[in-house]
Amino acid sequence: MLLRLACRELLRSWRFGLFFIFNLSLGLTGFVSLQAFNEALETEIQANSKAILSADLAVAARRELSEDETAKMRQALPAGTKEGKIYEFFAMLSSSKGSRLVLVKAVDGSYPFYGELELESGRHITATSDNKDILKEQKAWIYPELKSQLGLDAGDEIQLGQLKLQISDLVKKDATQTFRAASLAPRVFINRELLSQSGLLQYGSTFSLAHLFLLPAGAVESQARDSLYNVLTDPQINVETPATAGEDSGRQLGYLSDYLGLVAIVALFMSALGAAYIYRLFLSTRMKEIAILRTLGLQSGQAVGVYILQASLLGFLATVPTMLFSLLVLPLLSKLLGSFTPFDLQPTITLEAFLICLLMAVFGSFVVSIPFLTKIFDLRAAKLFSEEKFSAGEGQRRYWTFLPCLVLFYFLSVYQAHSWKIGSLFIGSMILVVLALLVIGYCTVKAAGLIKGLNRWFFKFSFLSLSRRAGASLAVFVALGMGALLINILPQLKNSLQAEFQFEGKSKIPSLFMFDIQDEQWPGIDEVLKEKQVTPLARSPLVRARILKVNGQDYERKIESEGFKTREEEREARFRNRGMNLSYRESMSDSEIMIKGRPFSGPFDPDKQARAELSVETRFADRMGFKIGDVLVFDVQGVEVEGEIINLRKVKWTSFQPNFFILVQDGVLNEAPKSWISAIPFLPEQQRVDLQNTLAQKFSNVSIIDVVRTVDDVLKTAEKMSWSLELMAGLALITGYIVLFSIVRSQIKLRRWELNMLKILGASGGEVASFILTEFAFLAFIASFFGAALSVLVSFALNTFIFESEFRLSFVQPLVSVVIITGLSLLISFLASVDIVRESALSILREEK
Amino acid sequence: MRPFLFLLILAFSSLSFAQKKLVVLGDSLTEGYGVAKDAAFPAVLEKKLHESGKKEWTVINAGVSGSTTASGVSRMKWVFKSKPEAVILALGANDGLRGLKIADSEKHLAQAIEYAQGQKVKVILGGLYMPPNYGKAYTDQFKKMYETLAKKYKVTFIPFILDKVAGNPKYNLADGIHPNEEGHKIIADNVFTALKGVL
Repeated sequence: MLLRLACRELLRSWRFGLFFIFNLSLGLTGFVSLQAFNEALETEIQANSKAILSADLAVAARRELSEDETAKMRQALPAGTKEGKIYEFFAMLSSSKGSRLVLVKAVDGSYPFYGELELESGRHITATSDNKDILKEQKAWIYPELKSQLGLDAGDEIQLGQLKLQISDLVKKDATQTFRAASLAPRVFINRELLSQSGLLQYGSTFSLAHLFLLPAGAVESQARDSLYNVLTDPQINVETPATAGEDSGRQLGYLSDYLGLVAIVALFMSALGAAYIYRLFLSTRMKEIAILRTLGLQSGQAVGVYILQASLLGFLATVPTMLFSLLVLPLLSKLLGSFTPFDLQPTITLEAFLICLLMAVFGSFVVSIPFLTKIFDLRAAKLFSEEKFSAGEGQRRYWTFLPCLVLFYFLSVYQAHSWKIGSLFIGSMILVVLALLVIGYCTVKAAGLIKGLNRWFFKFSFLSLSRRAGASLAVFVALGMGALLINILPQLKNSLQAEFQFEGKSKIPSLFMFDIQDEQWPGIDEVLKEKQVTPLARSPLVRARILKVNGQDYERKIESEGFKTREEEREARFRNRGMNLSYRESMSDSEIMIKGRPFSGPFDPDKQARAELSVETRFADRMGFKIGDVLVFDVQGVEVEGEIINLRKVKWTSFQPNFFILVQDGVLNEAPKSWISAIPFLPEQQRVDLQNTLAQKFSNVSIIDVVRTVDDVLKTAEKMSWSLELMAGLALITGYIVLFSIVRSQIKLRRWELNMLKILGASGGEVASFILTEFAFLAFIASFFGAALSVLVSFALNTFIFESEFRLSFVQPLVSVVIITGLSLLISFLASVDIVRESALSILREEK
Repeated sequence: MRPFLFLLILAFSSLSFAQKKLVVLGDSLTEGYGVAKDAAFPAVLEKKLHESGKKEWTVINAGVSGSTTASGVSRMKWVFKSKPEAVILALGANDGLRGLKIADSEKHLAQAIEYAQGQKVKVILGGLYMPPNYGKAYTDQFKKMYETLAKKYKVTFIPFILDKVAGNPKYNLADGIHPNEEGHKIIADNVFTALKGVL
């Protein structure tokens, strides 16, 4: 019976139904589009990490796995998993043009499961490509450094141990090479099957072995990794995932992933805000009908049921245009973005996005409206004789009714962000913000009623109307304020996070790294650099030391008689026991920012200072539990040096300058045995090769690494990440404005009856417009102003607790949003007033009644 | 000058009461990369010397991870301020692993031995082998370098300080290169055996 009643009523007020569906689907389209881009970006990031690992999972060790381990490993993986195996080891390559240390990478037919190798001949080597000539003949692919350093090229013969091979191609781009893996030696790709012929791998050889796995569709990497760790108990065996492989940009990827999590929650809140507001409007327009049904004998519970059914049905119907809009918008948007960003994103509507959209439309909106729905129980038949519409402020206050909404959004937030921390922090901030907006809104609305001395009746009437209908005004105020807040959070955070991805310009990016430079070699190196007209970017001393004690407690972990209990315990112990590279400099470099404490007081003064001053990189300090004031005792090659942490500093990742976890005050370690690291700025290829060859000839121990290619790749990734932030912040802005548009539009619809009455009473078109414009200008401006101001606080909190980056406050974006929201409200109000003036009063009365 | 004095006081205040000092000048194998300072072979060697009655000896760990033979002389200049009686020169592994020219490594080691002998410090040369994956030609030359130097400078020679340790996963960390606590005990045994009658 309830369903029939619900359907009959819907058919009767089909115009309102269409309005509801249209506005709801506008907000939901924004949500679905944001979710689709979010997913597409995450897929892109994952693909990048998988390309570095070239697999879903890798089991790596510095030894062969036993038969038993291999069997257990295969059993632990899901059925349908594909397997490959590669070896990596250093070897001396010899040829008629000279010999050199190379890193041999012996691969099989499955390599690489993900990503590709681009060869200079134009070939692209992928998992399925049939152009891997090294697997069919005695051939090899080499890194181009071997061409510049030894003059080797395609067609030349090389020898690795006893194995003779012909170079068939040079590697132009290798997705598996990361900045840190930019190793001492250029790579040579060979066929794994030929290894035995080389005679290089035997007892005592040092090599890395990796079993690479391509998991079947639907398999979860983390579960497979855990299963593997359960059966492969030897700590010498590592299970690597794409997340651990993308080491260079790991932190930034983490930031981006957290940011995308926030985008997902913001999108959810925006769509919920729109849906809840429109749903509330729906109920308020139906209160009179409910009163009639109640007088005809319908129970309150049944009345609630009818409107829940109606709204759910409308919500369900709204998902149809949502999907249609999204299908239309997404390809257009991705094509547009592809023309000016480095992305080729293919956003598609995921099942997950569809289900959340459905949940929001059918179920979520009425959960949000439970506080309003329960007011049906307070509805009296006398309402039928009232000309006023039912207001949210009427009836008994039931605070428990907010609980289901809180619980639902808390879990949805955690789910969307994939993080308890972010979800909890966000919900907590939102509760505080809503409370703040309620207080500010209440004061504003009440203050509006006290405004005196207005010379025109419609101004006076506008402010009085705001104050008189305090409940409804407050609802619009909170909705607009929340909208302004949600719109501003992502762009504010983006400004701060983008600083993480920016680099200082090409002149400050190194092309060569030199290390193991001895003190006495500097005059000679300087001479070469002067001759080649090159000024090094940095020269940092490197002093090896061990931390012996922290605040009087032993720092190093000693092995117990029964060995380490867990893999993690052993890793931690090895990390602590492996010694430290200390450095010193007079002041911090451009790539470092002190975030806590005080700067160095100047060179060490043994007459005034008992201890040396120390500066510690903040993440290292976190990991080790160090804080300002801690006293560390180092063993610097037999000498004990005591220091006190005076500051924590952050190191900028994209600077590519030599950086250290611990810096010691100048004047303490200057006489200690040390070597130097230096970086050479960008040089054209020929000049770079020339300098490298000259230095290698004169200073054979000085290792020089060409980082141009890897730096370039990392910078491209950083640029993509920066664009991702820009893109999502931009999309969130657009979505937010669409939601606010639908909210203001719905609110104006609610006022049509009142505006019409003014017209009937003799108000001119201009006066009707001025009345509604004054009201909305006032509300929208104050609500968006406070919403935008609160967004700065929320962004600051999220930035501090989640991203730990330097907060960059920008006033432009919040102020622009205040202007846009106010302008948008004025425009919609104006159009509505024009509409009312144009239409006949009778038709509006009929429609509204 | 002041920082230097400060360090000098720091450096040798704890050592000045020891009667005889043995410096182990090496790389990460000596430093004890990944194991506690007490578990690295110089510390184990000191314990063994004391247990065998040679309590007058203090062993100074002058290992620096990643160091090559090029740093030998400058580091000796620093560590010889403690006036050692003997030095174990255990450098060269990083030269080999980085594929440096053997002639250059040999020259640097020769300079270090000459400097030590010039300072009247007894030299014990710790020999190393390169893993077979570096190829027979290179590993043979590398091994021969130490033998040649030992013969030329008539120094006490330990042919392979990683004997019974290298290549055995049981005695090495997960990286397959650096010895674990058990590995360091064996290295200390190897060195201790070679030092019998020398100290």
